[in-house]
Amino acid sequence: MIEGWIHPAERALTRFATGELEETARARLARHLARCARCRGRVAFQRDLKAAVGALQGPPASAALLARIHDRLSREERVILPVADAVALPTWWRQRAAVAALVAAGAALWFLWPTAPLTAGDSLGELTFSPAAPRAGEAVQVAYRAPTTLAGRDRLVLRARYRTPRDESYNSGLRQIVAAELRPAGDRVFRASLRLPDSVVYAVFAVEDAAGRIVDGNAHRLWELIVHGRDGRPTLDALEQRQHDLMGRNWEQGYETARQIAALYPDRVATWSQLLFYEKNVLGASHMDSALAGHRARLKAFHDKLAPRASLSADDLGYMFWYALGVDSLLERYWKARLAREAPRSPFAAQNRAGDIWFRLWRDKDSLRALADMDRLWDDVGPAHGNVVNLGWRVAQVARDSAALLRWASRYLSMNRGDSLWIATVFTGYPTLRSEGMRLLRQQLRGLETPNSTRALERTVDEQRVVDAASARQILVALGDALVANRQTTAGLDTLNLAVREGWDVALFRRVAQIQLSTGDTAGAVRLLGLVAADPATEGWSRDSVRRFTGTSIDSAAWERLVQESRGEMRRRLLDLATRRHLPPDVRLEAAVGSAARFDTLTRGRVTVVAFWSRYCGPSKDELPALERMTARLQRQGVAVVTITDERISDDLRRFLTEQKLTFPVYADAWREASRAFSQWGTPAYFVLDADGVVRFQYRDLDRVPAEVAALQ
Amino acid sequence: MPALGPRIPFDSERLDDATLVERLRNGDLRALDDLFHRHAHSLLGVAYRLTGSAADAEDVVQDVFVGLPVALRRYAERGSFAGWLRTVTVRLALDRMRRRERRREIPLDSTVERDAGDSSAAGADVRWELERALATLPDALRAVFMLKEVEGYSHAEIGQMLGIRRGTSEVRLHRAIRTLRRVLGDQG
Repeated sequence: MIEGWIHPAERALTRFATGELEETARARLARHLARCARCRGRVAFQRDLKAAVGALQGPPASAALLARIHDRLSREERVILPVADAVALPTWWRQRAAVAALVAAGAALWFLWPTAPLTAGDSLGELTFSPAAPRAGEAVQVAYRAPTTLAGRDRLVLRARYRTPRDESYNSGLRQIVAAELRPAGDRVFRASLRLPDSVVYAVFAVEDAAGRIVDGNAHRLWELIVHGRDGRPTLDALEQRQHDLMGRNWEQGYETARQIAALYPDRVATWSQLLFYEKNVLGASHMDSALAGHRARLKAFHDKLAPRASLSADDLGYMFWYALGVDSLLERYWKARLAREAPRSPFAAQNRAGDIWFRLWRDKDSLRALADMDRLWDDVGPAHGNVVNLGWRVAQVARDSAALLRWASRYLSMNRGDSLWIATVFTGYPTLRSEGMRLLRQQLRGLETPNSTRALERTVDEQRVVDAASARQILVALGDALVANRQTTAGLDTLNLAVREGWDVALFRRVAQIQLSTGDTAGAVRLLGLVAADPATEGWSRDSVRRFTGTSIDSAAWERLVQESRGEMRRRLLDLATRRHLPPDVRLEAAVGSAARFDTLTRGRVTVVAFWSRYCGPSKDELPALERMTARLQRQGVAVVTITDERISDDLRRFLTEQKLTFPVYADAWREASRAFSQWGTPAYFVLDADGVVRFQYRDLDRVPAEVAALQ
Repeated sequence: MPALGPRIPFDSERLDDATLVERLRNGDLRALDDLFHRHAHSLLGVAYRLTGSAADAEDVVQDVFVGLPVALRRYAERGSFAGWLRTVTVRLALDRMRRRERRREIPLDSTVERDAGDSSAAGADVRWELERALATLPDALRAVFMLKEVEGYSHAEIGQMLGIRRGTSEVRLHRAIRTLRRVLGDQG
């Protein structure tokens, strides 16, 4: 038919796309579109365009804008609005008005809630320094008023972590030193003097008894010294090191520090880029809406100042790029391009280059090319940025190339010494690398006892022992697995037996039992299976299951006795691992649009499971059905369950819950108070609280929750 | 299983638009804040898409809220307040575009130039391309395009608002789309 081959007028296509063609013409055009890719493309273009333009957002509804409105109102300015002969609302708008009002209501709630007060725990003793704001290299007098637990000793130990301007974020690689011995000076007061090394700009301290069994770490906040300059202000290096030290330890104080830097050193791009980083992480998206306008204006001012300069430092280029990221996409591209051109070997650019290679691998699935690109990048930039080795090591794993794995592992370890267990475990999965992996594991096992120099300041010697024991179990499991895979079954079994002696890992118990059976150690296997049956997560494990599993028979009374004993064993082992962390009061959650709930009223007097989840996080989403099943069971036992999601309560979220058949109680961390209280920044994460509301267990593993609840009930 | 614990209603959240409007009419300026937090975001979007300038959008929305206490005296509660507010915003934005036309101002945001050295991520930044393309539209075409395609008004309604004939509105929409297709490089 010829009508299919004559292109319709463009206006007709436009009207087709807007749904304004009358029925006959519409049907005729639809027939044409079925055959004509060109015209189909035009209609699709118009529809895509409509969607894309509709998604364009205006400037943020900032507090500054509201302030200007009030300012004009207070000056009694008059604006006559064009409200006469109102045009009727467009149809679709009338339909959506109710929904939009609901969404806007949620936004209003977000803005209106007062900022949460920062929380702080109670300290036991009190450590003071004189001068409190020392210069570099200055002598400092220390006085410590001891709590009853530490009073009456003939000496106390002042431990410290010193930081110099070049030290990195987080505290994993840093050594702790004994800064001074505190001697009694009467009335529970201890004194010492110390001199800060010239290079030290920031230091944190804790006080402990001589054996390291009682530690006063100022309720995990530690005490600190910040080196000041001649002008009496904290030096930039000192504040930056404070920020690095607080990373992962106390986000709130990190944010406070970023604000302090912004107040004292506002002329650097890095200052604002870092402040933005903290605002995003600590305050969340709600506050960002109002903060972004200020950042856009400041970014623009920096851009206007720096862009015309032909020569800029790698730091300026890098921080301009980081600052623009998420604030202004146009400037982000501009500075990314300049960074790549002008400082290609700088840490910022090296990270971007590694990211681009990783992205191409993900897109093209060409792991050999990606590996060659990563090696070339390493030759060019070396250990410029941690993400170069992180991604290189991951590319080598995707490529499954043993030589590359060895090469990248050694590069990786040169920058991340703490992660050798991970490297070793990956190695044991490759037959050609297994013996190297086992060598690394044994080496780690030998070096496991943590020396005092790396024991965390706020951790006692006993707490460190628990941590070390857990690391040892992990290494033993990896080593035992590797030995069994290497057909050294007896040695593997002995190693695994060491790993199952303490701790609580049902999957490991079952696996070791299986290996024991294969070697004829039925008694050992039955003992472990008793532990498996004691765990509430393995409901349904009965002596029949054991018979099916082991092929041996055990009488009812003996089995019941074994399971009963194993329950006691489980409780003991789990409580050995438990912590005690008090939560601040007044943590609020959003219960539904327009209502808030206080966290403690949800939990009081009951053992409580808290689950942080996100439907946008794959692993977290996968566990939601299991969480739903577990909730029903726990609630029958009188356990409170509080699940906290990372988005606001909305109709869309409700639809998601209905579609997924999820009925557990859902709250939103609308003010980030829960994340802060739990020091929790990822999903999934599960916490078990005792009946007093104290956090006793925290894991990323849902399967452990029923056993932990049972241990606390 | 009943819901866990009591739910504490948030005071201002219980108030609907009608209550806030009534409060504002009675001179309670805190109600203006509540209405701002509730509606300003979407109104800024409407004004920005129409005027193509963040500064103009802010000015328009400022005017809307500054004029609101007085305008509410004449506001008859027919239909949704949010819709009424949106219509007022559209009218103010159009008015601003007309005045800008007379002064021959070009919205600031359209003067942004692409960095010549950065062609590696071509096509990645859709927003940038889109805003650049929209900036090439004369205000007369831009207004019709936004009102029809984004705000959802009919050609008859647009004609009434802009003081043009219905057919003119249709022609302008068609021309706007043709221009955008050309600028955005869609050859289809």
